[in-house]
Amino acid sequence: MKKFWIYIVLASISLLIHSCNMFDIHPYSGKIEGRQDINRDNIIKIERDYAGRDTIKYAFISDSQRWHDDLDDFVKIVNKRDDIDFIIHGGDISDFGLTKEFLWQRDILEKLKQPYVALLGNHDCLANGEEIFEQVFGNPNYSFIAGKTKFLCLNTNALESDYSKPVPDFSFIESERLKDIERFDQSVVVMHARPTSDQFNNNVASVFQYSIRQYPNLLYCNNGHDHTYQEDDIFKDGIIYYGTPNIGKRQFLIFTVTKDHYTHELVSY
Amino acid sequence: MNLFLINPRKLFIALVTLFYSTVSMAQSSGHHVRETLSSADSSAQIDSNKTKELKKTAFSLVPSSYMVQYAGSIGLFSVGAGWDYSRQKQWSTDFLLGYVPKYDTDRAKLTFTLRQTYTPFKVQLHDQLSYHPLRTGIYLNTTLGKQFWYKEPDKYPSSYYKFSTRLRINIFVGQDFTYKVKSNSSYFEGIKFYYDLHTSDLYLISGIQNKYLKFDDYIGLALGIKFQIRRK
Repeated sequence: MKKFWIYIVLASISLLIHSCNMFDIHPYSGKIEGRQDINRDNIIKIERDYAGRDTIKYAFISDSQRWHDDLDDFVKIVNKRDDIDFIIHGGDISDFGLTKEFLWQRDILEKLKQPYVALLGNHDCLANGEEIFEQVFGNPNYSFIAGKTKFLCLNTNALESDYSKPVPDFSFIESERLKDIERFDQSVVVMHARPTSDQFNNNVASVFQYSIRQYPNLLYCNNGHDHTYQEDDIFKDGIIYYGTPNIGKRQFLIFTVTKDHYTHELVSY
Repeated sequence: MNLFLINPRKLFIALVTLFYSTVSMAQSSGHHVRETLSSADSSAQIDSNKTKELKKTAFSLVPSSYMVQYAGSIGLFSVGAGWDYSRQKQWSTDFLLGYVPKYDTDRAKLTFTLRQTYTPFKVQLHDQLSYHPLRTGIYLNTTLGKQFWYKEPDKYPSSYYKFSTRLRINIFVGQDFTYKVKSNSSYFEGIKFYYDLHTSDLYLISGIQNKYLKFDDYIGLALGIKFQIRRK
């Protein structure tokens, strides 16, 4: 009998040694291991590799919170194709704002062969999530130029901010409008929550629309958040908002942008 | 998806009630032993047994143990006090204060934990060394800071986020070794080394729903030492 217990003890100890990386400090610890500032580095890649290209093709996914399996499958599918230049994630990387959720999803996205950027979703703001997002991915407002198209990526989760910071940030929108104007001749605006949604500051929805329409040759807008495919001319001014389904639906959008023109398709897998 | 079938505050009250009912149960079982004894043996022996049993099982506000813990989703390090009760000391209730360094965020955090442990089996390995092959239970952890709420603030439409960022419900299984001090008068009666494998409501639901996540992604490991105080 005593020998039996000794075996149990030895098995337990070996399990302990085996599981040294299993220490979890706190769900909201903010302990980030691995790659950080991903948007900044990937934007450098996108701007360098596709500079001057007339045609660009990108995949737009969104709302992958707690759908790790489906996001992983998406990565496998996109990696099999060679026509996608880059990937934009429309936000909601985490569901509960847990530090580990950001890292789990980052590690899945890191397997992509093409560069990717991510936007801030409303779920990413929970608890100290926004701090984690800023460390891992970067500033929630940013822009990049792919080919000859400027992509303006905006934080529109006004409900999360308590007016402590401007959301949407009009001074950022204005400052980006003519920046590097010699390198682009058309624009696309990307956001998590679109105007009229529960997160958007709808008091300024038409002002927002006015300010983005000042951009050189605005083609269309991309959004996530609503977990369904959308194609709506919200302000009846010819600017279409294309919403992508959540990744849990195993669907995403592919946009092909050429000079003054674009096409899109909804892909299911 | 509603992660809490019942309100977290109600759950907290229910757990506290459970704790006190278990304590009173332990006390009444001690009382019962005393009564059976008094009806049987000689009076001198009864008296010594009576006081001994009563004091061992009686609930005291003074903690019967102090502990330090590493990890466990409640902080890098936690310190706490515990009450061990029932005749075989199978139940214990611990209260821990945890410290989370700031790491890559703006500020460090403090957490409070209320833990209920059940240790059903005991194996005596040696005169002084005993082994408990199973310790299991539940612990509630709250994190201080206005970023964390029990229920979403009023600005949100009702049931917008359906979970609490402040209150985590954790379950655990583990084992421990207890070393009893030889002396009969020392302040500390024994020292207990334990480890727990634990997960919380949010980790568990992520783990169950995704094959991608591996065991060690959503199950954590905690190590702890418990110093047991001698009860006279």
